[in-house]
Amino acid sequence: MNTELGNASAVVSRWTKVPAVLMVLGGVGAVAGFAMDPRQLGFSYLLAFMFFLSLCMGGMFLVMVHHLFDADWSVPVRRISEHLACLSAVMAVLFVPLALLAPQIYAWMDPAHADHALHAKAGYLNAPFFYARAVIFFAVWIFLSWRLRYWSLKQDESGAAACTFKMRKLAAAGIFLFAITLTLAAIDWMKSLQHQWFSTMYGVYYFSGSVWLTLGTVYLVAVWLKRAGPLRDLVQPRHLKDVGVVLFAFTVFYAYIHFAQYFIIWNANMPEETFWYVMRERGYWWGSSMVLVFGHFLLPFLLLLRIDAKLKLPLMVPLCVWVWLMHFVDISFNVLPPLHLEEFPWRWTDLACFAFIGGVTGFVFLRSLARHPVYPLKDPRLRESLSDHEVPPPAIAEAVHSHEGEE
Amino acid sequence: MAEHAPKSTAFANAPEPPPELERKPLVQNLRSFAWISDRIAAVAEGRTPKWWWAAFVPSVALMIMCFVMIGYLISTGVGVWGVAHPVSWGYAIINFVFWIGIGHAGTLISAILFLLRQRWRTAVNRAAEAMTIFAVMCAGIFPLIHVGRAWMAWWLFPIPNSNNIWPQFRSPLMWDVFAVSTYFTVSLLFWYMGLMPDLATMRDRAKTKIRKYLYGLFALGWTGSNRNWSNYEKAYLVLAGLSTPLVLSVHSIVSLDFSVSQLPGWHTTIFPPYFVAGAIFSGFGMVLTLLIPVRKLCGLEEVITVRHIELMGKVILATGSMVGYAYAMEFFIAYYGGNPYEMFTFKNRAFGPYGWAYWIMVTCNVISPQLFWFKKIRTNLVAVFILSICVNIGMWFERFVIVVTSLHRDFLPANWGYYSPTYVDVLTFVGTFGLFLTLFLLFLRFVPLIAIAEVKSVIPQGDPDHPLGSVKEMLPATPEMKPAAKEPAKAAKPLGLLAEFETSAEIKSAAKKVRNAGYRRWDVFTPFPIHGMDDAMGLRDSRVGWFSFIGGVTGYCSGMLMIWFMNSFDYPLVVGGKPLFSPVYAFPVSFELTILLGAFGAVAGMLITNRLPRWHNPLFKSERFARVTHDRFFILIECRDPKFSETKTRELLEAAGSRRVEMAEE
Repeated sequence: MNTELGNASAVVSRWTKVPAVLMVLGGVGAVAGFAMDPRQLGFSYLLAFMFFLSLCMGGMFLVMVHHLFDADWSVPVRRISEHLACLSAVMAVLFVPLALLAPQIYAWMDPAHADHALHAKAGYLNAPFFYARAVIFFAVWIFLSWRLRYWSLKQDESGAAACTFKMRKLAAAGIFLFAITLTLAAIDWMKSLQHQWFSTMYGVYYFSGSVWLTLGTVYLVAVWLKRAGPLRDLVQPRHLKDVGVVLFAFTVFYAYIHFAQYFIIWNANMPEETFWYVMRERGYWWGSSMVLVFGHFLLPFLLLLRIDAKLKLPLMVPLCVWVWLMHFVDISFNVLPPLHLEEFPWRWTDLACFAFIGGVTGFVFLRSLARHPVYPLKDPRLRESLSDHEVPPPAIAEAVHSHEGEE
Repeated sequence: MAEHAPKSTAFANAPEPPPELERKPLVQNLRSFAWISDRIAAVAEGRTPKWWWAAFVPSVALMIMCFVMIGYLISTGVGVWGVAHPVSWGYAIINFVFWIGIGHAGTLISAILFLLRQRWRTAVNRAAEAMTIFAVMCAGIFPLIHVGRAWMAWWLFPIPNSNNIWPQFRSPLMWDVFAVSTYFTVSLLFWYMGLMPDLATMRDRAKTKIRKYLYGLFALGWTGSNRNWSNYEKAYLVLAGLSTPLVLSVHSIVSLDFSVSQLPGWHTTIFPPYFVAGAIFSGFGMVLTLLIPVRKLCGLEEVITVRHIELMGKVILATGSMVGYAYAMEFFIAYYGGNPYEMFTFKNRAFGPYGWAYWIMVTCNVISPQLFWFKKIRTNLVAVFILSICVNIGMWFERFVIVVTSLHRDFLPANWGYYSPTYVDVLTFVGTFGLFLTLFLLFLRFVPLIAIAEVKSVIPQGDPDHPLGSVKEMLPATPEMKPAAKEPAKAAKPLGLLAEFETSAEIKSAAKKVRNAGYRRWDVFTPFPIHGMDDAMGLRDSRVGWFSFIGGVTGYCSGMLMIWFMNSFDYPLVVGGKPLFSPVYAFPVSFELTILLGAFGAVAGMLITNRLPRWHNPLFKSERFARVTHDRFFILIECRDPKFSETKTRELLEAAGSRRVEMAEE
């Protein structure tokens, strides 16, 4: 067994200082921001939290879908998604400040807030249930992501098919739990900022953006680890191309979902729904709406349209960074309008919180990369993933041998 | 020899998959190319089997009943239906949505699964695509007769008429017109393009003149030239790329008929993806209902294997669960939204007078598909067949629930009612099954029901890099033909040397040799597109994509311009307080036109770059060349090539492994 193969610790350790510095600087900034304006900090923190939660959710989705489809192409990059999914634990810790700041952020938590619309849903939107749900969400996510990685790491040692079956079962049950928890989390933490508003699409909306962001991230990490060495032989152009293709698909999917939501509300023109978008068509928000239309959809769509584009690194690497920026705008578009309706929406605390949560999650992610083999060493589908054609089952291989023997 | 050497240490260290995780072959028993075309083509050849007549006669009877009912309706008026205040959308809209939904599996299998590289689709895509086309035809009937005066339906199209007004594009009805007609046209094009190589196979197998003529006519002179395959595959990819958003858009737009309204139970933002998931779900239900008997009756169990059935069961499970998610979300948001009317509608759906329909829907669409979690169920054909019928029933009731329950309790109790269909409603609906089955049975008898060329490309022998790609005649299927006669010195002008090869690996390595020898005017002919052949021949990337891109851009711009001109410039009319022109409401129609013209561009580009149709190709004179659509591979080096020399070229081809080289004539 080649010990060097798939070991990223040397490569990764060079970079661990970056998130650590970000974490410290961002943390100091966040504390300062809290002292100055706790409400502003609450929104900034929520923005950054929902952004990085996207990575965790997207990673979990990619892992589960990989198992459910019995896919082979994504084997070399699956470990990256597994680590992203396992950020669930650190996200749970990072939720604590958010839980404390919640009364500053969510208007409905204020007992003085009298609203008929709230009264109707008080059975769901009340502080104790809100916290209880958060506990359940994190319990589900931590359980799923850590069990999935646990069996995957087990398989690195044994290569047993039993591990694959375990993961498949987890993924099967998990995808249901995932769909429900992600939807409710998006409703609780983002939609309830304006609790009068409702949309059945909202969970799918957050989901589509999250997976989009995660695919861009997986692409970047895969390119980095390929260039730096640990994934050199493993991530072949066609794997990168496939990630790019799925990124393209989710570019369209996100646009489809968001357009459908907007279109239905626009057409029905009912004030109880339109107010949410009307707020977002004013002042700076008009600009950021347009950024979403052209930057979140049209630009990546046109750039990714050509088949060969998905392999052009000078195009793809900046594009994946752009994906981060666009997702940040998208989450801001959802989170910030209740706070800053007319004036410029972003403050320095947004950057501080982003640096802090990004630093913490980045640090944990890099440490996971360094600690574990950087791809599933003995996954039964790995061989298929790395070969050009479908691997013939032994029965066929035998038939060939006997046939060749006859000749 | 095949090049399948391990690439890296990572590959070397990767373990062989354990036996329980082996992938099952797509075609069982290592069948040969010849076996595949013989077996599949046999369904459309030879004597008509008895079961076919037994199915065809009742189907035609039902179809006639459908037309009688429609005749009665049109001659008498919509009063013969059960629709009345407050339920003014009854069976007609339910059936329309139901059939459109059925039509979604075909394009999903042919387009989305193609993009996802799900190679198992090859065994089922043709039949599913045919089903799509027939289902859309059934669907199209209903809005047409629902408008009441069917002879005025042409007003729906943007054609100047005697009233001097234009269709108004803020209405979802107009979006439907464009979505459904685009969907039908593009599905038909996609289906026909997929058929071309197989029609050529049928042409080359035809025993009678009339068959040869007709199949030849529709095959457009297809020869299996690799220069053609290259453009063809690009066009296929582009069409798949266009059909994927198209298939999503069609049912999304159908869902907008409901969701852009303000009616509780209809107006909800999740409708578009929810309808799409439901459509795919119902489409796969119908594919299974049809293919489980067909594979047995036609003796195709080795091509449409249990693995295929199992995979389709999984798609049903996935989409059924998505539909379940949407049901749950609707209920939850009805509560969360705090709108009492919305909440009432949903409570009434589940526990009101139509509660029975609601629970049939939930049982058939969400609960019973969960049985597909179990491999035992997925591989038990009887169980799958029964469950697939449950899916069909459940999805019909879903539309019933959406249409009827939302309407039958209006805001004022004075406007409440109970909808019951009349016999005309029921018999028309049942009759459309007759139409559907009649068309499907005719399809079975006249065109190959499985994509022959595509199946050949996914068996191991079809992959030149696979160990089996270089194995000759795994199972002797067709008797050896007599060797080519020594070509007599005729007066005819020679065209070039035509060399025959037997395996995909041979032809690929031969193509490389010919290319390296510096020939220019030559081509490779194969029964199916061979992986890596374009590189081996040194072909540049096909330009079909550009035709499609230009078509798409033209479609989008002309859609926007048309709507602006009609609704905002030429005849400005305020509707529903909406702006005279907005790119928002103009988007669905412009999008459909993008896809339509993009697809026209792709197909036209494929034909232009391939210089097709070309019904008289000198190669058709060669007796042996007829096997190019069956199980043989050819290289033609033309005399016009500057490097051509009869002896040297012949030597080269023989050295490349050909056992038969003949001089083809002009």
